[in-house]
Amino acid sequence: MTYGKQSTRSVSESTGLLIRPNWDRGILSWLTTVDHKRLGILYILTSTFFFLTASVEAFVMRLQLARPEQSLVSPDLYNQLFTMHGVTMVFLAIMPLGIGLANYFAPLMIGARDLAFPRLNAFGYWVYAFSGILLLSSFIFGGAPDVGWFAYAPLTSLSNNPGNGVDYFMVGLLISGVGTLVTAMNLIVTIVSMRAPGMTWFRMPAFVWMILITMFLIVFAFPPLTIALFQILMDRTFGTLFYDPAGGGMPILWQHLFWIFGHPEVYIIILPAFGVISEVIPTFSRKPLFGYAVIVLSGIFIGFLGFAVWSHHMFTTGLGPVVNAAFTLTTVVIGIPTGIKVFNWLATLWGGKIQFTTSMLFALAFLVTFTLGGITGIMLALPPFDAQAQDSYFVVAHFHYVMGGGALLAFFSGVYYWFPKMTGRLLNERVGKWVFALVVGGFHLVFFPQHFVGLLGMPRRVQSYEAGLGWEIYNQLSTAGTWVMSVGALIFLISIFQAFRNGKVAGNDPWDGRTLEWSTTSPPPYYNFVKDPVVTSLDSWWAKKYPESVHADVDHQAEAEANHQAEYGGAGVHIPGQSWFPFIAAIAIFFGGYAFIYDNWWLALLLLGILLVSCYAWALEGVGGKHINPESEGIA
Amino acid sequence: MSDTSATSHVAPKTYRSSPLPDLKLFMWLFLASDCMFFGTLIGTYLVYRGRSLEGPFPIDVLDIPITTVSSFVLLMSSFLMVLALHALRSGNIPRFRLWTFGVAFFGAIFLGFQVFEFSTFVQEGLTLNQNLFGSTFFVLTGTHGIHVTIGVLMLLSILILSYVKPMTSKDSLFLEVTGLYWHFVDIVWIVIFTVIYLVEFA
Amino acid sequence: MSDHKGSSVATYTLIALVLGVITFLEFAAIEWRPDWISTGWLVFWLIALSVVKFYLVVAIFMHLKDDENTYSGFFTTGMVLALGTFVVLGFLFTLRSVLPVWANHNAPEVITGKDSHNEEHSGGHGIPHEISEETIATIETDGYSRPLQVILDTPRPKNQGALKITPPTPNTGGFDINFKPHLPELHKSQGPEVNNSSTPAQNGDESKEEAKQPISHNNVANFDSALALKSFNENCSACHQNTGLGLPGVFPPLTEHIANIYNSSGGREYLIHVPLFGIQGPIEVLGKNYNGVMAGRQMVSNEDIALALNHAVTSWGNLEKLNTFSPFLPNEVAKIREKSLSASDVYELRQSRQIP
Repeated sequence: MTYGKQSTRSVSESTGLLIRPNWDRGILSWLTTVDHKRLGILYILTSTFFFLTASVEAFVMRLQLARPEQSLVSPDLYNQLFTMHGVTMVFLAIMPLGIGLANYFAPLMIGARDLAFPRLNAFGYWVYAFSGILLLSSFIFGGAPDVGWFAYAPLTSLSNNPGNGVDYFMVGLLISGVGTLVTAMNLIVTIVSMRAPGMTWFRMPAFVWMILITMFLIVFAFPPLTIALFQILMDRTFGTLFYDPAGGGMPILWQHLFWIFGHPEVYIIILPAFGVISEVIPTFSRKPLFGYAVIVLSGIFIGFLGFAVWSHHMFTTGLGPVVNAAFTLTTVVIGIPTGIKVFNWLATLWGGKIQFTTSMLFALAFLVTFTLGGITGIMLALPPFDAQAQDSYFVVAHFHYVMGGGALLAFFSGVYYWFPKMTGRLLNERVGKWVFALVVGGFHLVFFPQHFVGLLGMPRRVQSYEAGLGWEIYNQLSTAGTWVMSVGALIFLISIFQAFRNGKVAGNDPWDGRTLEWSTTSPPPYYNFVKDPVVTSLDSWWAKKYPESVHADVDHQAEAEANHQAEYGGAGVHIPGQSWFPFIAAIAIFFGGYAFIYDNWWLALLLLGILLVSCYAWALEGVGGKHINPESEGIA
Repeated sequence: MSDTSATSHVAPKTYRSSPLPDLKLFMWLFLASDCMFFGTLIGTYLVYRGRSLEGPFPIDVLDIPITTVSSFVLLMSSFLMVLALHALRSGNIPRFRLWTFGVAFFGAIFLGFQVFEFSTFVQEGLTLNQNLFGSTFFVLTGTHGIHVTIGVLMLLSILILSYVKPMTSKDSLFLEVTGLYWHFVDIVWIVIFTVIYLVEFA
Repeated sequence: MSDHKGSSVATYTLIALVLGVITFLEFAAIEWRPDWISTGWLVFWLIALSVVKFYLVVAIFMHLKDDENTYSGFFTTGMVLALGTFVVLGFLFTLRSVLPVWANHNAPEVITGKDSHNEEHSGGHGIPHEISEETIATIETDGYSRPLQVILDTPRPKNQGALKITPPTPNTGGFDINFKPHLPELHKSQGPEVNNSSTPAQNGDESKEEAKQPISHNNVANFDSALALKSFNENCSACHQNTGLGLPGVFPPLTEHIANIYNSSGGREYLIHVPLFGIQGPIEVLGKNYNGVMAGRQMVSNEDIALALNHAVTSWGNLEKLNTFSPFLPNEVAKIREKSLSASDVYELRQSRQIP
């Protein structure tokens, strides 16, 4: 396997004390890599791992709920399961999957050769991976957090929750937040600064736009979460009174701060999914994206408005009719740009030559499932209805439809779409159709009944329920669905292995794609492109292949390329050097997390010292790496 | 790739879709995110203002004259910061070193004032967990203090580096970006001084 | 790299001077606070001055004014979001849940069921005297084109909770005219019950005498204390606890304080409002401050509310503290229910009656 092969023959510059790593292959090359493609793959693999752990947690919960009054798991363990399922899915599985796809493909789609700060990119990944390990380790170190993924105060206070579980929650999310934040800023700078010549803002692929908006959302939404987590940690460790009612603290402040983060978070999850769909549907309809500018602008609108809706998670907390009405208004309004996107995707399909590849099937399933989730969302936006449905399975059904049916299906679509590019192999389409049927069919079987059982009164987060309430059938259907989905997921994983063993070779452009990543090899060489891509229109790769179909000016394109070559041709390409320090810094933070949880201040101080030293070393070693001339380098 | 100042060779001209240096873009993004960060802290303080169940209350412990002096010191440190950047850009290395040291020194004085203020408050009975004022005040100003400390460290690092390795006006990006961070820390203090200290006595 | 070399040293020095002067002005305004400026204006000018300082540092020291707009875009977005979110958050914590335009201005009069002319209202909704019921009824409307004044003054339907409340089905278990009372025996040495129907306000010293005597009961009906306990546990104890001690800082205790309220003038009737409509506003109970929102329980039947009240008022030593006691009755609850108030109205009622 030669993907992501990094610079080989020449030893990279040493800066005296520190000899930079320069490995080609093997585990050390992965620990020190700064290549966005390798890091993207690491993100995808790690998030898949956490998907599996969260799915196991869900599987066990559903087994427990399949029949009334069962005791497969104790109530205490059940609480830990649903908390960790939520935390893992949101923070460790689905958000990083979007970030991983962004990491791999955003630079390729804008014609760049890496991110603006490659070592920071690596740091962001390692911090995320270690934070996930820390969170997961809570199961064996005294119990996972059992307070729900939103950890409402004052359940999280030290007196109400004396174990370490809540500390794991707070510290784990604080650490992972750091990684997410730096990666977001990294991607924004990349997209601003490193687009190909001629790629103006409105010639940028829709996926990249969605990623840009998502990264801005991360930049603004994570700080309130950081502060809220920090405040609870201070309450638990130093006895501050932020959320202590006896001292005058108001637990509802936690709800506000959490949801000020939490609502943009769900847009952080779904916007990359929207981006994937905006690439897959045009490709497999062989038509340009309908209303590209509108899709971009509605994405920006969603980004801004996403900060104005947070209290729709708090309709039943007694905010009052005026406040409730205001947030209903903003929530209903945010449905508009989302709906506009759906219509634009439909219009893209209309009149297109549809190719029902697995990727496309998942995208079509997304359209239906996400829209259903959006509709139940609008229902929940109305306080009179929400007061009935709050904390019932109706809400569970709603958010799984938008997160699972939305983001998950879109990312399945993205993986089927981009797997050939990342690995050079095609996934088996026939098997893919089975995966599609089982995953999508299973998904609906799990979550559609939950709407009804929720309206029949079944509350969320209950370890069991009484017999004779009429809830049994829905729970049984739901649990049966998890078996179906599991089979589908298993077949999916097997097909991944099969693709590596004897999958068909993909070639550069198996789908006759529209965007720049298809213009290079599969997988791309470590320098991404032989020649700097020069762009003169939207869907620039399509325009290059079929200039007549988009009335592209071939001469203008040739001239632009020639001009660029003349001015920048001699520059060569700078390949950033590998480095140990992102990994070391992340390790220091990882162990520092444990030190903080167990109140071991000397250890924390020591690790802070290690962190500082590695930051200095990181700054002093410089970018490193070397210059190459891709044309003479040859395609790897 | 973006070539930050520490590498030893000069990169040939590469195409960038924006003339703005990456590090500066990154720092402004970070500062924008820090707006939300401090906004949350100040917001928490304001939500809890007047809700402490027992004293000491702000009016009992806050000292306007002393805090005015420390605010003035921090403001002047910002002034020295722009002088330092100006000196480096003009190639006047000794001046640049002097002013950079000045910024760090003034920052340290500000931190000294903070430490003095914190210990005075503790002596007067205001601790982290005494009441809501204690919790919110110490966490807010403590976080600000940590930001100042990091800034002082960054400045001293640049200063020391300037002796180890010759620094020219081309290296001014690092100093400029550190300056941006420093000024931001200053303007957060402007907000804190007004909202927490002055308004309390109005 | 920015092409601008930045401003000149002279400019920077000038700005620094201005910053220093402004800081001194702020200090002076506080240290030697002039009498002629009100607090509101002082706060305004202090904030204005700090905005000037903020702008000077950002625009000139940080060079944002002369730099590319991208930076300004990033920073402004962050500032706007931060300001917007936390200003809104501040309002959420300070704004009353019902704005004055929606509040019932005449809450006290509504409670007595009479307006200032001492006439009974049939509907029970507070109708301002300025516009009489007949006037409203006769204004020609198509539902939309009412005069603005009428719209503003016509009270909105009170919040009856998020759901349409169906009238509770009568619970006949708790009240029975022929039922024998199970109340605790207070003073076994005493003889037959003394009928005590005078209000404490009229009694002065006598009330102390009477308080030592057995509490009498309304002869019309009694309540089943077991069912009262059940009703209290189902509807009230989740917050106020079985012990009636509540949760410090969050849910006020019902011990002792309820007895004080009951004994005060107008307190007994006020007590019926609280479980029905809730209450919202800062109160002090047994030396501790509470400032939360209690949701009303209009879905609970009149009987159950009366039972729960009876339990609260006669448990945990409260009964001994009462000057007099007559059990709460379902029809009393029903009458108050018609008034359809909000939690804030109940608070206003509490303040207007100076309930302890």
